[in-house]
Amino acid sequence: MARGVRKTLWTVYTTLVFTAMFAPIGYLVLMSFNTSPYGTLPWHFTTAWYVRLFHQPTLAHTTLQTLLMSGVVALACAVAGTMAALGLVRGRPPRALASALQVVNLIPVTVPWLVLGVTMLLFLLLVGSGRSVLNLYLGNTVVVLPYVTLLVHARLRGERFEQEEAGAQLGASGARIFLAITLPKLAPSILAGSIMAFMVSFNNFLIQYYLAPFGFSTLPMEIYGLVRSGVRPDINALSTFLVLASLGLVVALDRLVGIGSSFGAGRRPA
Amino acid sequence: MRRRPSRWAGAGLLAPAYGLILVLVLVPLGALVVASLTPARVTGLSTLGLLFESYLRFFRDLPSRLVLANSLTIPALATLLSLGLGWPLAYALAKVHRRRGNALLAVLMAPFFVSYLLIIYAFMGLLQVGGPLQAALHALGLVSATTSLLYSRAAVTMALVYEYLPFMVLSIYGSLERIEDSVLEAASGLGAGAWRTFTEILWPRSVPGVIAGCALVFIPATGAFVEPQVLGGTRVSMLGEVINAQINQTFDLTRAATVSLVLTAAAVLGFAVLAALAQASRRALRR
Repeated sequence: MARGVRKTLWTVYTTLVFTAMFAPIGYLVLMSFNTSPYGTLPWHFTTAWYVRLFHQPTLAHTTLQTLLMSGVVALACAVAGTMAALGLVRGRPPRALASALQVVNLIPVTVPWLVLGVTMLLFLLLVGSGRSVLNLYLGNTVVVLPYVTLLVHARLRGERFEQEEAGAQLGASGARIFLAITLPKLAPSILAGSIMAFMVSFNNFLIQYYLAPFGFSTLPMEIYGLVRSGVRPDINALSTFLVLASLGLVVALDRLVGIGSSFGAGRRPA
Repeated sequence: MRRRPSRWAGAGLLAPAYGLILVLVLVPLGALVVASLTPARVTGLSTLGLLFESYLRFFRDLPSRLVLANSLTIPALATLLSLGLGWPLAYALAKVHRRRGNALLAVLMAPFFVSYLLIIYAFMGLLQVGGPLQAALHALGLVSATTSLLYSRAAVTMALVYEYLPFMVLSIYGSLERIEDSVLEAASGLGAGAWRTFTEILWPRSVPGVIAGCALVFIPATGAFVEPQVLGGTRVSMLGEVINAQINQTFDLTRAATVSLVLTAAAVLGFAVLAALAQASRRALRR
C-alpha cells in the first residue's frame, strides 16, 4: 500500500475515534440549547436552561466550595509529594526501605476508589470522627498524593546534582540551593502533578460522596443528585461550562509542560 | 563535597506523605480485614469457620456470585475494548501524526476531566427511548420504537470504555513513542511487512504500556458503582452497588468490609491475569 493512502486511513481512524469520544459531550452541549427538557429530538433553540442555571443559588456556591477544596488538596499534594520524592532520592534510605516505600506509594492507586472511600469512612467512624470537612480534605489528598510523588520522583531520579554541589561549594545555604536550583528544575513535574491532583480531586465523586459531611455538597455530588432525580436540562447547561473549563485547563497543561511528557511518556533522549 | 542530609532529614521529608498514607490507607485497610473477620453477632469462642463466616456466606450466596461475575466480566470486556480501540489510536498519535500527537493526546484527556458523571448522564439521554442513538437504531430497523438501550450490560460496558479509554491510550502512547524510528526503518529496509513489524517490534515493545493501561482501566472499572446503578438499573448489578447499599441503607459493617475486600482481591487478581496474558502474547507472537 502506498504511504499516502496508509496515512489517510490512519487519519480517518483517528478522526472517527475522536468524534465518537466527543459525541456524548457534544450531545449534552447541543441539548442545553434544546427546548425539550428530556434530551430528545426534535431540536428547537432556547437559552432558557442557562437562565435557569444562573438562578440556582446553590450551584455557584457548590462550585466554589469544590474549587476551594481541590485547590487546597493540590497545594497540599504539591508540598507533601515533593517532600516525599526528595526524601526518597536525597534522603538516601536503605535500598530495601526505598523500594518498600515505593510499593506503599502505589497502594492508594491500586485499591479501587470506592473501596478506599468506604474504608476511610468505616475507619473514621470507628475512631469516632466520621464525616467532616477536614476528613474530606485529607481523604482527597491521600488519594491523589501518589501521583505527585511519582511524577516528581521520576524527574528527580533522572537529574544530576552538579549545580547543587557547586552551590554548596560556593557556600550557599541549603534553603537557597533548594529555592534557586532544585525547585526550578522540579517545577514542571510539580505543576503537572498538582494540576492532575486538582482535576482528579475535583471529580472524585466516590471519595467526596463518602467523606463529605451531611449538608456539604460538591459539584459531582450535585450532578449525581440531579442524575438520580431524572433527566434535568440544567445539567446540560452546566456541562457546557465544565467542558469549556476542562478543555481550557488541559490545553494550559499541555502548553506548560506537554501532557505526554508530564505523564512519563515521550521521554526522548536529551 | 555535597553535604549529605542526615537520616533524620530524610525521615522528616517522608513523614507528611507517608504518615497520611499510613493513617488513612494502611491502618484502615488493616481494620477492614479485621472487621470482615468479625461476625456480626459475637458468640463466645470463635472457631476458624466462624472467623471466615462472612466470606463463606458471600460465596454460598448465588446472587452474590453472579454480581461478582459481573464485576469481573464487565470491566474485563471494557478493558479489552479499550485496548482494541486504544492501541491503534496510540500508534496513530505516536507514529503517524507525531507532530500533533501530544496536543491530540491532551484533547483526548479532556472528557475525563469533564467529570465522568456527566458522561454517564449523557449516555442516559443518548440511549433512552427517543434519544438520538436509540432513534437511529430504530430508523435502521434494528430495535423497536419502544426498546430502551438502557439497563443492559452493553450500556454499562460502553460507559466504562468512554471513561477509561484515554488512560489506555496515554499508557500505550508512552511506550510506542519511545521506539526509535531507526529501528522501524531498519525493519522495513530488511523487507519486514506491516504484520511482522507489528508482531516483532511494535507489540512486544508496547507490552509495558499495555499492562499499565490495563491497570488504569480494569482496577477503577471494578470499583464502578454509579454506572451499573444508573445505566444498569436493576438488571445489571456490580459489587460497588452492594458495598454502597451496605453503607447507605443496611449498614452491615461486616458485610461491607467483606465485599470491599472481595472486590479489591478481584481487582488485583483480574489485573494480574490480564498482565500475564499480555506478557505471554509477547512470546507467542514472536514464534
